[in-house]
Amino acid sequence: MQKSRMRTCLFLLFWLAVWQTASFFIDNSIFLVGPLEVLKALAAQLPTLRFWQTAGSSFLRIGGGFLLAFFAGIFLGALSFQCSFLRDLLNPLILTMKSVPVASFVILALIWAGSRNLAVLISFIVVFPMIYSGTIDGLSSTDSSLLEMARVFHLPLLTKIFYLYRQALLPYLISACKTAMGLSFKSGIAAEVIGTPDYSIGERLYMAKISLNTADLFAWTLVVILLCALFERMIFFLLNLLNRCKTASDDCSVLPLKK
Amino acid sequence: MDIFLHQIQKSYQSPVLRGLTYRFRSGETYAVTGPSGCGKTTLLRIILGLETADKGTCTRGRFSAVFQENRLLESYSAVQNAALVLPRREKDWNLPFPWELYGSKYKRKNIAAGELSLILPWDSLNQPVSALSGGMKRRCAICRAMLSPSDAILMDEPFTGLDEDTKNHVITYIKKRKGNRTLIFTTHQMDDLAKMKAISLPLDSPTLY
Repeated sequence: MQKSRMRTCLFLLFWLAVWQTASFFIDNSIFLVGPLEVLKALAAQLPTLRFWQTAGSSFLRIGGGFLLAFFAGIFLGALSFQCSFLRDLLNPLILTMKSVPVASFVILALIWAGSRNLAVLISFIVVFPMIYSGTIDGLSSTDSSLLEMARVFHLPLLTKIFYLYRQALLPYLISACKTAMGLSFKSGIAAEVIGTPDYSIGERLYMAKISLNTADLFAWTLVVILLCALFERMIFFLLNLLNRCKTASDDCSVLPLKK
Repeated sequence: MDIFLHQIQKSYQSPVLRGLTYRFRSGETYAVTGPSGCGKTTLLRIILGLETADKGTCTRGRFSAVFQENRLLESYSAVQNAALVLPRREKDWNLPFPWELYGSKYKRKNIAAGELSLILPWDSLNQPVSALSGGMKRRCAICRAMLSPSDAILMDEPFTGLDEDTKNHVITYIKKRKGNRTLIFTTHQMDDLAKMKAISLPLDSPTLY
């Protein structure tokens, strides 16, 4: 474990060195900036209030959109799993969300709603179909022999949800979240670049483009990656809570009976 | 509760049950026998309501079952598996011993543990079922069926994977714990019938139809 982490670090250092050397030889701060200059640009931003407002508002918008989609996806997915009418009804909508390019949605959203909460909407539109389909697939994968068992023993619905459906759902939900998380941040930022709402990372990226400030571009990119990693931690904490219920009730204390 | 089967017909590719009429008397023990593929499992599934007969009627009721496979929740302990089948309301539990004495906080689990400990070793009770041996899982499934309040218990080859001593022990347990419930089980071994003092129902016998 320790060793493999060392290896990863070494390879990372190698590529950072390649990057630094390349930028040293190219010697053109518009074409390519080195990692040190990126850090310098980031360090210049860090103490300003504006930086934290920008990073915070983008993070909250995209993360909020993700969470909305997460809960809505599970809720509607579960309903659709139960009711095939609803599934057929929603199917064209889901397909549209999946297949229409994000950029078209962005422009449409700009016309309809303006740019203020653009990232929330776009992140929702990207994440919702994944969570929704994942929920349906996960619930469908519930072991039918165990469901028969539950029927014979008259287990109440809540028990079935807790012990049978949740177990089947979680792996699907986790893998859906893994893909959806990266995508939500990427498309959320892309939407902000197009819509340039105030106090958003997208706006800053756009500014970097206009002023040909490559160091800023890289610095903000780094910020997005870090925010995404932070969000990933938070979501996995949430998913762990869902999973934890199992182990919490598992270490039941059986009191020894008097013989 | 008597269980009536009236003209039960069921066929898959070929006919399995051809108009079976039978009456299982309340409180008796029945052994359904016959070669593989003669419809033993199908018959139990029809009584349990998991399969609908092509024709004929069957009494509905509250049954508990030991399936051919164990059908336990593998990541949960034996205690949790057994405790699951106790209904929400305590007055429906219908247990033959004074369970009120079991303390209030972990009542279900304590009842389940007490029940399981009759045929399983203590130290296996809190392990996840996936860590138990095949025979232990089988005993856990049997225990779960006995613990569930029901009018009749249906068991599909309940003694598979049990060695001779354990089997005798489990048979004693089942007979004692059955109470006045009807018990229907399937088996391939004829000496099970004598041990369980069961009434034989050979499904392949032409006199049945």
